[in-house]
Amino acid sequence: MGPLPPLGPFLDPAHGVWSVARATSLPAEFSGSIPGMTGEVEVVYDRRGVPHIWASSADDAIRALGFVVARDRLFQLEVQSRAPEGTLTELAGEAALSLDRQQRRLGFGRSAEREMRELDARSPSAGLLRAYADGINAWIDGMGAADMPFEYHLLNAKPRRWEPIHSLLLNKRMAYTLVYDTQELWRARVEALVGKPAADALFPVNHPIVQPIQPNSSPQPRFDFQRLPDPAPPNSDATSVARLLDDVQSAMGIGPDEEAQGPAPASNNWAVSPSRTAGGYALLSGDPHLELTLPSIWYEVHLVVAGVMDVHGVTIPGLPTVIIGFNRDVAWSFTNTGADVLDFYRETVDSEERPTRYMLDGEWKPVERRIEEYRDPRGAVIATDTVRYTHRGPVRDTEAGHLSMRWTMLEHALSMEPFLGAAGSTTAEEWLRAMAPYPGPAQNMIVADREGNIAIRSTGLYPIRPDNGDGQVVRDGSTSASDWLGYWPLEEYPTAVNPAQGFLASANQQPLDPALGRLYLGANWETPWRAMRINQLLAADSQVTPDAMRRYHTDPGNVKADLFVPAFLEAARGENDLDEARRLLEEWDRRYTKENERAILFELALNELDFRTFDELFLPDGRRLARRASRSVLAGLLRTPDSPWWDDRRTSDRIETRDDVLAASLEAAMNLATERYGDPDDGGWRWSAVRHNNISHLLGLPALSRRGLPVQGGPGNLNPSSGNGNHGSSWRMVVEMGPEVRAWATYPGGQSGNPASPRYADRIDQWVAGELDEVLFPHDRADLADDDVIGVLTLRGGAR
Amino acid sequence: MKRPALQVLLLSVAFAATTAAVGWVAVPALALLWGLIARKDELPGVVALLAAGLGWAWLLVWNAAVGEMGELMWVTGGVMGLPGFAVVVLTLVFPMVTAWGAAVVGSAARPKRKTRANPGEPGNPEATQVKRPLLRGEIDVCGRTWQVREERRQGPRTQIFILTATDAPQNEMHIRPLPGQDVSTLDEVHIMSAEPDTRVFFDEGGARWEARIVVASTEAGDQRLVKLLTYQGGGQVFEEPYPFVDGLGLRTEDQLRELLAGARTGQGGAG
Repeated sequence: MGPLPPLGPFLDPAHGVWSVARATSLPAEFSGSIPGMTGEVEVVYDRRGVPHIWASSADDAIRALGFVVARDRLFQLEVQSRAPEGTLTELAGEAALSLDRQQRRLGFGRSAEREMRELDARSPSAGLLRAYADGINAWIDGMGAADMPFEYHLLNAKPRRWEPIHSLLLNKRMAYTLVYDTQELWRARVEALVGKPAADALFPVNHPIVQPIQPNSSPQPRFDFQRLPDPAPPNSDATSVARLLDDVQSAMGIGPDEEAQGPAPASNNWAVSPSRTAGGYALLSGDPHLELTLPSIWYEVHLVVAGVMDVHGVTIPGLPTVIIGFNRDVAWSFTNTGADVLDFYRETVDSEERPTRYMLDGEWKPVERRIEEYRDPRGAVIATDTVRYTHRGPVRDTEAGHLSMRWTMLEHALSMEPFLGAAGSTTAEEWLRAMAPYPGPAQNMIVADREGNIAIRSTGLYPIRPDNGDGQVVRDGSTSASDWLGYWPLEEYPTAVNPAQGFLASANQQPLDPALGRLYLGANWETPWRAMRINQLLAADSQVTPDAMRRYHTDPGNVKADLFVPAFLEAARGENDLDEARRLLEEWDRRYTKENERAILFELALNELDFRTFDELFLPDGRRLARRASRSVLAGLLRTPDSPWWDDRRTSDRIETRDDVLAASLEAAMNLATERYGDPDDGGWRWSAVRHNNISHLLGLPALSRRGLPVQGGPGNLNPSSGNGNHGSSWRMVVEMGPEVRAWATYPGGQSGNPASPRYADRIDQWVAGELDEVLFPHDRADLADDDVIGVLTLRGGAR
Repeated sequence: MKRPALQVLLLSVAFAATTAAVGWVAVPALALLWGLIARKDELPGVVALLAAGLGWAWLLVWNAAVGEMGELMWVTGGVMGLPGFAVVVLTLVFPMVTAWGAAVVGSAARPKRKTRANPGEPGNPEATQVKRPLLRGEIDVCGRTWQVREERRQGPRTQIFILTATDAPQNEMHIRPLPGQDVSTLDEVHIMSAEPDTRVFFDEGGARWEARIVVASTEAGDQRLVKLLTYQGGGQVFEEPYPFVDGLGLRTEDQLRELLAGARTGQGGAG
């Protein structure tokens, strides 16, 4: 609980927090005006709270989109644009200072300002950004007391006007969420701890389990396990390493846990050719996983402009487009590619304390300085920073030196044209062509059309480094020879169209089979447990139905267990102390249903195994010094029972083997589970009791959050549950590309950002249960029955 | 009690309307104004307190009628770490305290009107002389002609006139309530006289009676005694000593009622 807002304005029942109650329901009929609107726009809200917008031009449709999004998600708009801008202190005061500092040091504001200056004012992108801002601001200008979102009352603040640059900033924020990976920095620590060969093997460029997005010749995963090089002794003592870690983390504003866990977002998408579906139509599933928040990151909408677009899907409040969705002919969804699009360079500077110049090719170049001022809600400056830039990007001062950062997301503006083209496309091919210029954050874009085509392409700008070197090292900044040479040509992008196997799937795994890859795309790929599982499911079903697609979203199966459970059981055989643990693990059906009472034993045992095996990456106090190695690396290590990695260095009197560690891990897990959750059959071990999804409000306020939600799925499942439960499936969609497109969808939240609204969290129960709503996709107003309509908004042009 | 209730009701509507129009600052502003214009014996602080709470309650009811107050109450309480109903209580207590404080300040800041004490009295802070008498000249009461000597406000509902008969000595006074008022509704009537033996005539509707104030010495000290001498129409003479701790005259409405009732029936009055 933070400081209380001033009581008078807060409690005022006419204008204060209580007034929010009056805006919880949608009026049956209401109207508004938006400057610049050229025609009348009708917005019909269906019974799911989804606005269907009928406009006569794309600009008008986007104006209306801005208006309806602002009506439902105004506070979210502000937070999501202020976060990358680094101006949250102006809303929340000093409490947000560290967050703001972190974001400003990444250079988002400078980058967005430059992009805005360079944007051709006559381009469709510029027009749409302006139209969107007009719509949002029209709502703000016409807002009544009751329309002020709840959070503004808490903060005693007023909404700021929306500017087109805020949309650009929001895209930076998405990039930060999806592709900000400082692997060069934490890999340096791993190298210090275990030596370069071991570090390279622990965090390989190519993943040892191969089940690529672009199908290779084998429908089965391929296991390219290599013997893990022995760990070298640390080249510095653990204390100094820890200090370096703290320093770097502090500079990045990242908590140790967050860094250690690695990138959390994960996503799935898949599509099935008509030849393998029961209905004979292509099917597509979208299942992007992101941080779970209330309100949700997504807002569902249907935009109709005759002859231009008729698109239904989800937009991110702040972006003037539908991101994931479908039209009358094409459906699409994204997963994060996770490509390496960010590099660090160690710069040579003229002053360690206050650098003003940096060395490039033997000449001193001026360092650009940008003074960042942080203000409180009253406008007073509460802190200042100097952020320095080289031609590559922002410079961060660390014990490791002055590191400049180059990142595609600071150099290429969000463009609306690809999305506009995609929304209006009629075939998968046309859709892919429209999305070709999309700069990033790179996405595995899957698409299916009504003609039965399915396709996938990992789209975004991928840098080409000198000598096709990988991006895992900090390069010498004193020479331009270290700089990127350009970007991958489109034809090199991982792509698949109508594969022979009849389906396509991506789950953040390495897009290309390393045997086919010519250029470095990235490293440290997501372990393909989910990809393997969805491939398994799709390969096993030649009559896929939309309902099966729905069930796959929360499929309780997990291929990871198939690799590790036999090893645990074998190690425990003959160990009398482990009879009970072995029996319990044997009983496990290897599924993560909510009722399952054995999965927790396996998960604890696996964590223990990781901790005991890779103890070289931990301090004696249990603090992790580096990101966790992939579980697939651990799985590969199972094949070498005498590897020195198995030795637990904490026991100096003996050398442990694989089976010793497996048995000890299982025993420790058994003890831990009993201690934490009681006896195995007393209900405390039930998966729903030990693992939850937690959907937090944007301000983290528990009363506005929904925590402790049971989840069907564990780490590595198609519906994964991360450690703290804050990440998960953010939008689930199944689309059947029949003569009339049918779709089913839901997301964990609700359309309204008003916490007192019945539509604030009305979809969560459905989401927890793995159910979907049938989406209403009317051709026109007459297609909607009266019972399906809960409100009608008429928008007209108004004075600016 | 009708008048204070009406004041609270009307003022609550004003609080609700002004809050809806200009926001919460209307509460202290209106209460301050109320404190300035209300008489102190009308308890401006209490009236403002009740009216402000009621006024905001109207607005809460309005919110509840058109929206999801229950859910909002739960949510807001959760955010503040309080039970939902506690936030509602706080919402009502806040304007009450604010209005009370502002009304008290306003009342204290109210310009003091010039007070004229009765002859022989050092001062009478409660009674305020009215500049312009409502009754002018001579009037005929109890078969005698009376001259308006003073007109006084005495409490929020009491308007009395102190009259002396043109042909009567100084120790004879007539007390008459405001036309249309029942003397029995007077909260408190103070009859002051420097004379040790004052005859006081009350005029109540058609009935008339007179009292005599005498001063008797007792072991406990001086006691003023009221003796109800006659009650016109009843034809009876009733005498009952009525002790007063301080001041002269009749005390409370109930006591006066009893005295009057006793006078009318010829039975015992208040003791």
